[in-house]
Amino acid sequence: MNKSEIKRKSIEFFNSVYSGPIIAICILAVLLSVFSPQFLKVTNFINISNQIAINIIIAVGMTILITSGGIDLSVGANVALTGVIIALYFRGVPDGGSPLVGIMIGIGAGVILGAINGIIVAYLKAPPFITTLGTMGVFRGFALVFSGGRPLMGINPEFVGVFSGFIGRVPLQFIIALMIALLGAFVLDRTSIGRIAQCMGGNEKTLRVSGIPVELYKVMMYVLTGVLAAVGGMVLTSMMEVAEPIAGQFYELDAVAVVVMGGTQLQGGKGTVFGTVLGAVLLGIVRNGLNMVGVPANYQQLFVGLIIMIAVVSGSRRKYATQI
Amino acid sequence: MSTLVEMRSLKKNFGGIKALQDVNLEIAAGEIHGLLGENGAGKSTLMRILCGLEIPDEGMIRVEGSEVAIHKPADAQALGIGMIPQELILIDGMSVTENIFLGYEKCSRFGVLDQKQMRTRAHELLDSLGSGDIDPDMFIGLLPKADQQIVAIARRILQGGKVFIMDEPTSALTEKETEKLFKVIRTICGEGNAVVFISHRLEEVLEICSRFTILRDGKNVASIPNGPEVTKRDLIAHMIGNDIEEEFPHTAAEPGDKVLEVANLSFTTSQGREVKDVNFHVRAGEVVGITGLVGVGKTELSQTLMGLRRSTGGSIYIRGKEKKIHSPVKAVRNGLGYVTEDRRGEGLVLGLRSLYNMTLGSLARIVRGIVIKLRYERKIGLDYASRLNMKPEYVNLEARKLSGGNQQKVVVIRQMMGDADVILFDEPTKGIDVGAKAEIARLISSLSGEQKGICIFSSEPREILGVSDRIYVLNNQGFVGPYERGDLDYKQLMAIEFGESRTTGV
Repeated sequence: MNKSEIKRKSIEFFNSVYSGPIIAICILAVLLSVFSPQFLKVTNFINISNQIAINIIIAVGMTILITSGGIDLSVGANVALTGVIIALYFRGVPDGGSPLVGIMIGIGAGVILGAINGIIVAYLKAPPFITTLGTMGVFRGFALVFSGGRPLMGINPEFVGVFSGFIGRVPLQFIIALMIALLGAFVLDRTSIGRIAQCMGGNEKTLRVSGIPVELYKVMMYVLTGVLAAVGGMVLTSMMEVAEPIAGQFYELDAVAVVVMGGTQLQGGKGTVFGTVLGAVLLGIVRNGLNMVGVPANYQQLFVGLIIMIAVVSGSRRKYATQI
Repeated sequence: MSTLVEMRSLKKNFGGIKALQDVNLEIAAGEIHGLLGENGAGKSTLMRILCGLEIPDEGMIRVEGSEVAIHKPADAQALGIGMIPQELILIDGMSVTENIFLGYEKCSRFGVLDQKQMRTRAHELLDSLGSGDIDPDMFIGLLPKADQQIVAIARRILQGGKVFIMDEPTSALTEKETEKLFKVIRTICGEGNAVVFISHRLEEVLEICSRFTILRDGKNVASIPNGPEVTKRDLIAHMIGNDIEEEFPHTAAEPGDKVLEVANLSFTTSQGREVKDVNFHVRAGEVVGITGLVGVGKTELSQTLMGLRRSTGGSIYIRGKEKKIHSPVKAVRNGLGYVTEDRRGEGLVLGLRSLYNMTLGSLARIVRGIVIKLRYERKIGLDYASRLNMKPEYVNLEARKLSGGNQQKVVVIRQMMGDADVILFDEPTKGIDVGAKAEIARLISSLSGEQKGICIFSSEPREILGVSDRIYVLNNQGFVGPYERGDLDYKQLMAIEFGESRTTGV
């Protein structure tokens, strides 16, 4: 590699959406390894990967949805409601239920919750932000009503084993998350559904005059997001071996945050699942680092909020710059 | 009569296009000045400059003798110049009085709105315009269109307006309403104000204007007083000049079966006018041109065929079978393809690669299951690009970075890749430079060679005459035609567009 090529490659890197999170991750890693001897330990990395798994799973769906010009704020409530429904099934059958049926019920719940959002947005033409803010309340309400407001125990242990545990020293849920991320990247970049998501977010009218059933595809995007949120719910329920009706709070915020940090345009049209994974790693390291250096919990939320704001502002500045 | 406004040697370029070249305009007090010209002659640009919506590259404007600089609409307004737009700026949910005084409200001593005084003044104003019958308390939205325009005029008078620019003010009015509006126009001009009247309806301009300025291709061609000796034919002659036919490639096609037939179709234009009894057909392998002046409803007709707009009657047959087309999804399923007029707004996903823009209408052709065969996609994209003389590197660029001509090629390629039997082109060469225009026209011809039926909706008479095998005209009297290729020359076509003659073979 000669000099000019290195120069060209590095300019390319700094112009790409990945440069922000990668540089931030590197700086943080250096700082944390200096300030905290615990940071570079393998157990700590296992810890981080464990913590970011659900965020990645939900954010992959959110990436595709935001690329298509939508957004879903009900994913956190979806996580809780799916968990509660599965717990009710396992508690309701005398023999403890089968894990396969449990998974099917969970995915079915995701399809239905996603379709509700999708149908309201696509066919009743309601704005996605407000629609899913509303369904967030409704889904959370159902989770509370169905569970009686109490955590539900009695999750089938085989089911728990499908979604959590360790393979060697690597958390199973992290492997599931990475597989979903690979699949999500493939769907977004290589399939007709992903292509249509990009077109829909870029200019919905073009799809419409080209005779593509826009509404149908829109519902599909919300169903996809709903299913992945439900998978997140199943993972969480398995990790805790209990279904909490108040679980998954602020998961929607985390998901949208890492999508934006990863370089997906909040206005739609352009998205990257790889960037989203980077965003999730960054957010995970920040949370982990704040704990390590002993920042009080009350300040942690503040820092995380600030980082999200920086990501949103730099993202919209980048978009502005490319338009001029 | 004293000169109110004088515009001297105005020049304005848009990119490489010379919209105005040394244009002069003098508006005298008390005059109703007709500003005439074909579509794209520069009328709107000139008026936008006068209203401060565009800044001229060169030239000078004098108002009442002194030179002025108009950089923004507020400058024009302060000089008493303002547009009475077609799409009115009034607020439907407010009363006539409130609209007239909007932003200029009168208050009594304690800062409370003085409703009574405003109401009285509004009535006086309308009365002075001979329209005392308009109720000052009525909601604007409930008034007929002509009355709304009169209220808009009253509002401008209150703000100190002297020069009123009216662009196609009668296009949405009935004959009776037009008479009423004309009376008001004559009244305000009697008081030393002036009106610039832009209209394609030549009978009307002959009736109301006292003088004409005629533009062609961004240049002055005539400035003549109105009189009994001036005829519609004279005006048209000035507007189109001695035209030299441009070369448009045309290959006589061997027409096949009727692929599209439209019988007694009716629809409503954006301005709320109903167009009835549209009858035409398109055969495989031929180019049908549908033309008419801007705003006459061509785009709306194409939208109706594509299911983007409701038809109010009539039927559409595709390959001999009647089809109900309620949505573009249905239209495409029935073999229709559409190239919209609004290339940037509707035709393209600007942030997406050209290649992806080309294939988005025919994803089914390039997928296995749902997986896109990227290499195959690229190959057919490059194939089409080279057939259309498009540089291969353009294929990977975002659509926004291409020139207008290349953007249009991308949209055309999308239709070529699809399996539409009939392709509707709405203003296919709008905003494209001259060289690329001929190329797009050649493309359209070559498509008909592939036994596709082509239907072009265009306001450019030269283009229509150049590429069409058969021509229909939409004018203010209705849908006229067919005229076979060679039946019409430029002048005859313009005469039909302006509704002067309905006969063929003049």
